[in-house]
Amino acid sequence: MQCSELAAKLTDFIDGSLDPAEEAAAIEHLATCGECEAVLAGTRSVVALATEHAKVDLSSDERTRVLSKVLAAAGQD
Amino acid sequence: MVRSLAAPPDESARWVTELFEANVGAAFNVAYRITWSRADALDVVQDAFIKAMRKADQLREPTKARSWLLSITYREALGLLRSRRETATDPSDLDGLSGSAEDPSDVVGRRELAALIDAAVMRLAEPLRTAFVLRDVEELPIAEVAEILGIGLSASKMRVARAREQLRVALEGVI
Repeated sequence: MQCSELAAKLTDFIDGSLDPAEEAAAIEHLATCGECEAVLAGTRSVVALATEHAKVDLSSDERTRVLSKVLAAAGQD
Repeated sequence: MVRSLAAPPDESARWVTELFEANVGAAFNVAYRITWSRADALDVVQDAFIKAMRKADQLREPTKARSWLLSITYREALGLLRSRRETATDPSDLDGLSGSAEDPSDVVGRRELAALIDAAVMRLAEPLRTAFVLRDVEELPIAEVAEILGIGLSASKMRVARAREQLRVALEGVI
């Protein structure tokens, strides 16, 4: 596998959705290519950081307020 | 608390309450990342649930309630943006981040990191941003992301891949 091929399949590789032969070829390439290994590590960090830090949630008050308005609309129907 | 509300004792109210409890977090995240306004995101979420309730008969597969609801939320948020022809530019509204019972220095570090990620995510074009939020923040399967956005599987993968790559470059030196 070449660098460009791996770049095109990186999302599937990270998500574990490559077929076994492609995954093996990707792992083989990564073992010998420091640049692709660095890109992979950086991309995995982005995904991990997003999962951990990029979530914005409603407060309890906001949840209650929105749901009560939705239920009020349900009562009008 | 949500459950303490006196819900109208009819089936549709019970159904929408369950739908709300299970999905309001994801719906809010999607709406907020498109509108960049907490108030607008709350309006979008409210309208999306009301619309979902009124269109409940169009939901053919109950197992797909989440993607159906998020798809309505997505379209509502885009509609709001289009009607205003502008987006907010300051993602400083970070009060949704919690840091209770943690070392204060950890809290500062986490807030700084969250602010950096927020700024980088904001710079993504909307199609990439929404795909990224659904896949990597909400951790939905890529097939469900495609369903919500109303695009093909490969287009969804492409959007997620481009978003990840732009964020990786933007956050280089930080991560």
